[in-house]
Amino acid sequence: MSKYNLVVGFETHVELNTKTKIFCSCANEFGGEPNTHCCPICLGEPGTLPQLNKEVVRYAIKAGLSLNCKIPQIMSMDRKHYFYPDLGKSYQTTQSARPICLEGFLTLDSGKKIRINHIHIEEDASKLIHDAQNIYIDNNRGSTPLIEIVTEPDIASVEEAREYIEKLQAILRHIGVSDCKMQEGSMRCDVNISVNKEGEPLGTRTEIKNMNSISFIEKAISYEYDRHVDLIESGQKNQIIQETRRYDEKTDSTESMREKEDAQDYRYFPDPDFLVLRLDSKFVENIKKTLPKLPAEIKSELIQDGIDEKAADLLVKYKNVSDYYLSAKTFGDSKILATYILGEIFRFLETEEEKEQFNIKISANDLGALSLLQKNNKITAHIAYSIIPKMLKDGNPHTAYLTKEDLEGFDNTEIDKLCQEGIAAMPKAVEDYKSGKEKALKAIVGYVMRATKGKADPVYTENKILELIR
Amino acid sequence: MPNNLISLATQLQRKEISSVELTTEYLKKIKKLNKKTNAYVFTNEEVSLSQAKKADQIIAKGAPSVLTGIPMSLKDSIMTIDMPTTACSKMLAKYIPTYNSTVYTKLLNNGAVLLGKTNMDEFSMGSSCLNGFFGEASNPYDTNRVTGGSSGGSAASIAQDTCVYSLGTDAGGSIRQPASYCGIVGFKPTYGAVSRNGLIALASSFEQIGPMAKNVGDTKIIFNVIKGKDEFDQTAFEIPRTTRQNPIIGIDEDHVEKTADKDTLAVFEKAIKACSKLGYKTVKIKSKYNDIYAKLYYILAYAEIASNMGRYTGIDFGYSTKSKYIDTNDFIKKSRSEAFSNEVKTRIMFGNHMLTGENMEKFYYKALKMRNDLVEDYYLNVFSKCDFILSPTTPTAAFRKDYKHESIQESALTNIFALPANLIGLPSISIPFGVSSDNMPIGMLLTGKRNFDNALLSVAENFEKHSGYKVLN
Amino acid sequence: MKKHTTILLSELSGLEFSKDELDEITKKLEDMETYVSDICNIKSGNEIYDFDMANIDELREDIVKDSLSQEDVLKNAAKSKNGYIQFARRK
Repeated sequence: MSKYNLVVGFETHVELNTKTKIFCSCANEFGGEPNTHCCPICLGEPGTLPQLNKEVVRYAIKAGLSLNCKIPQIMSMDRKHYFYPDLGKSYQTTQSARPICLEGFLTLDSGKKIRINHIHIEEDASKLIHDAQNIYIDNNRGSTPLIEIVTEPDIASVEEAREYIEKLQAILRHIGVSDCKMQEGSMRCDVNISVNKEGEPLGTRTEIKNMNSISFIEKAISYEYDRHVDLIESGQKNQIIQETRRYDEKTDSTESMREKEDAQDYRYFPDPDFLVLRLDSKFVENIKKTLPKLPAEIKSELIQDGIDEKAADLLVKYKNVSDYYLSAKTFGDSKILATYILGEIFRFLETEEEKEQFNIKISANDLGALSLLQKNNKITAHIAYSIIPKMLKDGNPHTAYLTKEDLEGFDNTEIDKLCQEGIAAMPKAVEDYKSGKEKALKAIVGYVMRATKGKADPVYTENKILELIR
Repeated sequence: MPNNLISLATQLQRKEISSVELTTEYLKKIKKLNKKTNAYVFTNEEVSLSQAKKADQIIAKGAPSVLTGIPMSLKDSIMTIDMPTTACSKMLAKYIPTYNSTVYTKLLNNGAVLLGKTNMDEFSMGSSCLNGFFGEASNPYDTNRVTGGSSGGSAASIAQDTCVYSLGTDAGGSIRQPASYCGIVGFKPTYGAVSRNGLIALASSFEQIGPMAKNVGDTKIIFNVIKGKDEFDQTAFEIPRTTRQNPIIGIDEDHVEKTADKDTLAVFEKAIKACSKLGYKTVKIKSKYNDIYAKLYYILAYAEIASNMGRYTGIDFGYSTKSKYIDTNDFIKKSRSEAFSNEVKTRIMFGNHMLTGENMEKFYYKALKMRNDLVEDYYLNVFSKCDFILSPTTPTAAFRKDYKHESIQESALTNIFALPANLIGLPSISIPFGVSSDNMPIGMLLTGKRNFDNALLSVAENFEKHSGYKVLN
Repeated sequence: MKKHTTILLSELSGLEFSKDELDEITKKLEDMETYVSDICNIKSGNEIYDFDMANIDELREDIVKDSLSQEDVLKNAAKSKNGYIQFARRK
């Protein structure tokens, strides 16, 4: 099996979260009553002309810069023609000849660069609902702005595919151009798959369109890889045709969509309703200046702070989380803050939505201060974990929940002394433990906990007692 | 009744006549005369009179514009909420406009009164005005002859004096040729000088909305109101102010002699004489692309047409088939095929033909390169020698309705003088200058460099003084 | 020109023709193609005719403005239901 290379490329459509649509001033909003965010322009009514949204241009350049793309001096728009009920003008305004961003890359953890061929802007189609008899058209989504990010066929494994998409999501969320929610449709992937033997030319590729789940993408890629290899091995290589296939989640397989390739001549040509746009270098420079720290850079910082890779990935997944973390760590301890955020706070914020918003009542200062107390052994982790949920719920600062004693805390020598006291005071428990009754240890720990009114670190205490017993 | 906007405006402002009275008169005239020409396809007295009333109120308050209270007509491809906008097509016969074109908004802001929408070739495809869904238009001077097109109804309405002025559209001569055939003034501005927002598109990189009127002075006034940058058309911009003292007039004598008929040549001679009377120097010019204009137009304009016409599917708006159909594609094909005339279908098919497969490179991109060559040629070889080009507007006066052009070459000749202005984006105006031996109007064409609209209009006004033509009233 | 090409073109054009019409339109397209084919023999420059340049500051600001009412959107559609434009897949 492994004698065949897997070759995958992505064309990812990302919905930009500008306030208005790409060619008109209708609200670019999710949901709402059907056909309530439409105007003659996005409906393609006779006589209308497009008004290109400056913010769309800015967002697209921002995305390109964050993916190491080159920004050309000029860009232009093209028309792509076909008939479909979700396409009012019967052409999609997109970019073919002179797209807004060229040649970039996204770096995986392994250091491998997935090359980006280009990024272009285009309009989205309307939404269709099907039932047995009818098609229902909601034009709200029609003409909302998209960027399409096209990679070279550099992805060589299912794992790399997942990593690419997750990193792409994190980057685009960080720069604030899209929420990249695949289940909601603000990010969709067309996946191109082929296989070949090392040293041989690329195989025929098949395309699976509009995938909106990373796990389905993984499954589809695996299935296609096997399908291609099976066909080659059984001497039916010519059965692999360049076509569009559909992934069926129920059967976990792909099937041909049997498109009439012949009839799909899109006749791309320059859209005469647009002038050629100068991408002024000052404009591009200003966008560069406003780029925030990107996930990869923040992640290195986290790893230098001693945070493990998995935790680092979770912290950079959403910009609000990493912003908060970076702010809090100027007041506190990095590692401890990471455990607070990924532990008690993430437990409190139940949904992905809430984690992404990270709208919590604890200020970064406050959490930072709390982490310092823990770092300096003024309080135990146990205490911190118990008051964080209260702080999240009630919005009071940490000082509201800690007594003077708490804040002063117990240092280790005091705990050690209490351990020795406990051992001395409970000889039977010591004997029980030595003769195999593990539970007996808890009694001695309990003694110390009572003496410190629960403020001692139970883990440290237990270990100390064990040490002293031995 | 006075024959120009300024005099009319003065009368209105002096309250010698009210807009309501003026409008009522024009509506009466339309009732009486429209059946002769079928210039108007839609009128709505209620709308016109209510606008006239408003205009009178503005005049009463003081500070009206020159256009306030003055009745006009608009070509049926220019979007108006107040009256149907169908591009004289079956496809849009029942379409309800949801917005106003920028030019109409500007005219309304100046207190203009809309008398009605005028006849045109369906979707602006034609040079006769015989192809409209609501019937043929007839030339007011000889109803056996065409008005020309596609803005034929607009031209006829001014010639019959059933309105004071009109707006037409010109992608390949469609303002200037009917203006010439009907003995009125028709002006196609520099590409981008006037917003195309609300113009039912034919060939986007070729067309402009332009004024049609009885004289150049009126044309100037209207142009200054409708021109300008527009947020709804990102290809529109502000024309700079331009003048040209002692203009040099370029004449391609060989080309004209080869193409124009005897009657037209006679009028052309008069126009050349007018140059000396005006003290304008004339020079010989030549373009090596004379045989190419129409070919480039067919390739490039028809490709844009095919693209622009795609939106008419009957799904979101427009004519929808009542026949049975098996799927969406079938529905679309049936709706379009039942609604569109043969001319429309042919242009769409040919346009797509030029864009399909190998033809994209072979024809479309080749033509696009030649269009660029054409621009260079004009600036290097023509406008290096002269400021304005003088030619007849068309090779002949209005042809008979039953006349069948023998070949593509022949029908392409109709607009041979007019086309360069569309291919290159130049301002170009037709002024009535004489008549044929059977008394049909013949117009002369002046074309200038891009952005030199004001200068062109001034020069045209001077020419007009020496015109041997009187506008029929 | 082959009729096969005309049929393909009619698919792209969203049009259908009867047998006779097909012959007629094929001939017309042939004639027109012949007419324009002269340009294939003429040498041209390499630059395509390009549109004018625009600057970023001429673009539209990202400010929400009123949309049409749902009623206005639907009034030109042949059929609508619950705010959607309704279109039967087959009849």
